[in-house]
Amino acid sequence: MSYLKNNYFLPMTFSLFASLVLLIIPSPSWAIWFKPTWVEMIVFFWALYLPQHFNLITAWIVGLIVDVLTNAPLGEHAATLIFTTYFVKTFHQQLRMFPLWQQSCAISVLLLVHQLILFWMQQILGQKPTWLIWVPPLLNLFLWPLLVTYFKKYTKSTSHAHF
Amino acid sequence: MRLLFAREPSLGARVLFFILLSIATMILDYRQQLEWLHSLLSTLTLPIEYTIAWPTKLVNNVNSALTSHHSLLTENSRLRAEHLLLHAQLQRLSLLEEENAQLRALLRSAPQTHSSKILVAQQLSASADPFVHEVMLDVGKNQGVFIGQAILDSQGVMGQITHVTPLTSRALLITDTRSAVPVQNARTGQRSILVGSGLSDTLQLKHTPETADIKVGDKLICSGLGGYFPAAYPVGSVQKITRQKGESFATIIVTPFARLDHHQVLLIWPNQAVTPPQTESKPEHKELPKKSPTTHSAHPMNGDKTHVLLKK
Repeated sequence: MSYLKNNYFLPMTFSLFASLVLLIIPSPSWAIWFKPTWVEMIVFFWALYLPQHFNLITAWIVGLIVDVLTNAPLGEHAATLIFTTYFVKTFHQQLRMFPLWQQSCAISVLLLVHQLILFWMQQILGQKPTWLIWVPPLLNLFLWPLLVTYFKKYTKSTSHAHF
Repeated sequence: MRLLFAREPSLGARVLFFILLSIATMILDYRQQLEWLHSLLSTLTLPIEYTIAWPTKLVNNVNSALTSHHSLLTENSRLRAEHLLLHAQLQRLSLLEEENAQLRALLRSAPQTHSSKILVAQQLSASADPFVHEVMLDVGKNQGVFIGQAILDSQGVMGQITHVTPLTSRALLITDTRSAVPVQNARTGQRSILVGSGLSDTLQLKHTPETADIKVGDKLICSGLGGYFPAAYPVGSVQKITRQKGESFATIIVTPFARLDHHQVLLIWPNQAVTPPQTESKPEHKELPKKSPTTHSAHPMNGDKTHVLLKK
């Protein structure tokens, strides 16, 4: 299993799985808007720090799984996620140069774009968006630095860490 | 091995390809031609759903392990008493059912159907989207669940099944805006449609005339019309009635009896007398009760007219 020798493989799989679990975890109805968009954050993180190991097709499959879990039309989240991941991958060198607060601002803006595209699509499908779509990206603004400080150690030595 | 100067399609081209692919899958899914991909991905997501159900199961197990002998004894005696009471009521019910069938036979009208098979299911997860009131259940096609089947709890109707995979199924709750339940007023027999409002614990009674005989506290039961929800199961009670001048219909807010955030649900199989809805096609959520010619006083217009006369 050459995959398992890589330092990043297990954290990447586990974090994606955990984010998908957090996506559909039942919550009281008042708290439903105060859920950070974990899946998008984790996908952006790996696309930003390990762009050579995080393929677009992974983002697409994750998006499809989100579609199945939320019972959205197959491809809705997949298309949106791959679109925003493309921006992260294209500008990963600039984004990584930013100080952490600036980086989290940029990521939050991208998450907001993601939310807006999603809501635009959902509006076409006949649902009403509200002003509360601003809340999840705002939460991500504070969670992104924590995420980066925790997961960054897995991105350092990308190949064949012996332990 | 990667060739040194091999030409790979650029990132932008690949993104465009995947976005076009997603749009294609969206269109195909909208036309319901992607059931195989749905069931494949549902199998992939099964571990995620079971991970969520696991903590609740753990808490239950720990709870049952830590319950003291004394509380178990008291609970047992309470349940015994309840069982006895329910059994006595059931005896009376079977007598009434028989009598009802005889009377119906005398009147030469169709016999009332009642459920024959009941299954208890666990709720696996709730919907992540605040606009969508749906739950995931841990029973599927292997247990005989079919699309359109009603789900209940001990208090009343909760919703109906909209999606079935071999091991899980998805149900639309009655509070979802896409849900409509044909109901009748238990006091007056007047029929109408109960529509979800998108808010938890609130339903709306649609198309009830301004002058209809309806009061706060009236109990609404399933009328059984439309063929999906079993007849005579309680749905909710009228909470608030707003009659506005100039409007042809009153705004009526109904509270559901069922505890929609509860973890255990019941699934009901109707008797063979009722033709089970086809499993292939998706049910129409907004089903209108058919205006059958056999109903007499239950017709909304009749009740309405008498009320108008009384008023004058």
